[in-house]
Amino acid sequence: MTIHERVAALISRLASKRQFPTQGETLFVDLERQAVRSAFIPRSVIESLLGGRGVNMFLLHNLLDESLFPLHPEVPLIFGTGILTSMVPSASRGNATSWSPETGILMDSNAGDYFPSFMKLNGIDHLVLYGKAPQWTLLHFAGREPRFVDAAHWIGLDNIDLRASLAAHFNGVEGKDYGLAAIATAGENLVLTSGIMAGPKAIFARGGPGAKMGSLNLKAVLIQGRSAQLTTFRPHKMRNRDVAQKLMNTSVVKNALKVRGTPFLYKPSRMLGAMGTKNNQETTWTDKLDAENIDPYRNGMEGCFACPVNCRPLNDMSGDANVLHDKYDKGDGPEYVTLGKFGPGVGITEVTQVLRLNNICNDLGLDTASTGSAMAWAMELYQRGILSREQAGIDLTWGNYDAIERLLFMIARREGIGNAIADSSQAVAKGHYPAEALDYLMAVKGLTQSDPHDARILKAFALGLAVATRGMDHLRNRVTLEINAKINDSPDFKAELYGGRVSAEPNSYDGKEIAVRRCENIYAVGDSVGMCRFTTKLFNSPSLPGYEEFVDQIENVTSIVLTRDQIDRIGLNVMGVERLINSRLGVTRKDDTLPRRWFEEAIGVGPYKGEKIDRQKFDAMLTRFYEISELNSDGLPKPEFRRELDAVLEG
Amino acid sequence: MSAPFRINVRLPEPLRDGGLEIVAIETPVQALGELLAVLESRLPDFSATNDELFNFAINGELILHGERSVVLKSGDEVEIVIAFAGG
Ligand code: SF4
Repeated sequence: MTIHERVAALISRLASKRQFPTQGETLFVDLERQAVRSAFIPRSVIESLLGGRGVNMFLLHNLLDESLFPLHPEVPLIFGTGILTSMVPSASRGNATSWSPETGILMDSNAGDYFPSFMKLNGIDHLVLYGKAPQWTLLHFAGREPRFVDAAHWIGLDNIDLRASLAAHFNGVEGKDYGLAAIATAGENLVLTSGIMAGPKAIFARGGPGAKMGSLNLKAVLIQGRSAQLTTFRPHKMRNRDVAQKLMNTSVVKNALKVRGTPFLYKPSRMLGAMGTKNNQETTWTDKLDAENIDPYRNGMEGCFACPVNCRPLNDMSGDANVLHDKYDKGDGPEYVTLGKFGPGVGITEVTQVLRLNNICNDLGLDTASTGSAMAWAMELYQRGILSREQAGIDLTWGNYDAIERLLFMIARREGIGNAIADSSQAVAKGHYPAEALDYLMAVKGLTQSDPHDARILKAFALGLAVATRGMDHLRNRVTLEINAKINDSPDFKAELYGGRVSAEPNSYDGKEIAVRRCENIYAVGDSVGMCRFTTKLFNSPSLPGYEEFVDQIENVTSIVLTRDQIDRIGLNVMGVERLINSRLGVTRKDDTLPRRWFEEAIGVGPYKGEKIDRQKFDAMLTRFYEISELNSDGLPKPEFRRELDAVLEG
Repeated sequence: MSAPFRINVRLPEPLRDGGLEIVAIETPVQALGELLAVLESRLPDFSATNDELFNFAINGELILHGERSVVLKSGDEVEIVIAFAGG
């Protein structure tokens, strides 16, 4: 079946009318033929998967032809907004979904800033893009009908210049007048660590979304104005006030997230001896990169659409006489992930150098997690002589700042050794490195680790990274509160939080599957309603908005009534569909694992010196996880669960 | 004569009233739980904020469970660390 036939078959099963007042359309945009079709997601699908990530999975499952390859133009790129996006504080998010060119499995990435909200504000819930545009194209929406604008003028522009040029061309201000998702040169050059920039820093990051968008000859999607009437089923603003109050009264939000943003986590990880250093060969690094040392350069905080938290630190080094002054002496960020990946990850100790690398990545459209990890992998190969000086063409010694900066541009242009790093975890398959290089690849299911936290100590983190459906990524299910002593020391509270007994000891395997299951469910729900991970219950605090607020606002906004158990089940459904998709792409139980290093090499410092992952205990924990997740021994939905999912996906 | 008992406690930003970064505790204590009681009486903001926000590190190593019973001795360095974990 061609994509056109698949789209036609799917539309014949979708609804032709709005299912609730705030529902937006699902638009199917054929970039090759410049044709658009639309439909509405049926209420039964919404009741099982909500929206955003959940419904994106429904669409991908129905449109995916696994006999193709990820960058084939008939494999769609799908943007989706959460069911509450733009209508509830901190629900500013949306997802970009496809078949990942970086990993070969499911690609699904979440971002905020303004693009997802402008989709919703213009009555678009999902945007399914396929077919290769005959020339580089910018898709411009001012209302629901897109214009296919020749983008030749913007090709070769990186994020800073592109956003400035588009602001002038469309005579508006991003965030106020329009939302924008665009690729920079890394995406144009099909770099597998490239993302889709949803703002100066906000990025649909993991799995190579930038390359996927580039493969369709699509430079940007710009959604202008606010043409939709978002009339909710019942007034929802009073309850929004409660949500905002709950957010702002949470200690970690008030005292950490809002003040310095996520770099706070660097210090606890470092002190625990769990800060991934030099491709996880070591696990602690300098205190010079502690969040407070970024203070002199933090000139403000930014945030996503209608989010009261404003957690995103800006940086400005223009007053520092010791740094180079050009367009990279200021920018947006860094997040903790970037601090870790471009600090200890590659052996850098200076704050200003990390800030500059952060600013360059944001401009080139590079995912700092994948790029930093792929670079650290290459540096370890260089250290071990698996990659020679001659092959590298550049001195890849740890901490060689000039080489690292130069490498970012080489990656974006796929030049020299940059071409190998641009292929990320696929570098061996593509013939850049010998097979023995895989021994040092810190990846699961082809995705390098998102955050720099070394999970040999915290077994719940480790299980989460192993089972996450998009690969080695903490944002899908991390039991973040395992790092909190007060919660660990309150067994009854902890049991209530996760719905079962979870060992207090961070390095124990006991009960950790229960906590991962609970987190995976609520985070999948959060992605499907559009709520930010940072402000979803369990990620940073037990006091943040969760199911209670979600069900109330879903009812107020859509008229759909859900119980707490039902919404939790939706989280399980999303995971189930994702596992079905991955199974079609060849994923089996053996892929729910961890990098070799974590099983074989012990942590060498700190209070948990000697800790590593025990294969048998890990395997037993994985079996227990499958059992409570209604998965069979190969990690796929058991027959009854499968029947329920099939009814939603194919009914 | 043995040296007087002293534990230095490094405070995080929300507790740095008037720029005070380190508090010296000279009341002999044997465990972190006892030290917390002393801190609660010394620092007005501490008891209000000592919810899930704070973790403790002893001599640079983070404590993740059994917090109150961690044994202390004179000369230990205690640091209150914001237990922010998600990013
Ligand atoms: S908490 Fe931060 S990342 Fe999340 S929606 Fe708000 S501003 Fe955006």
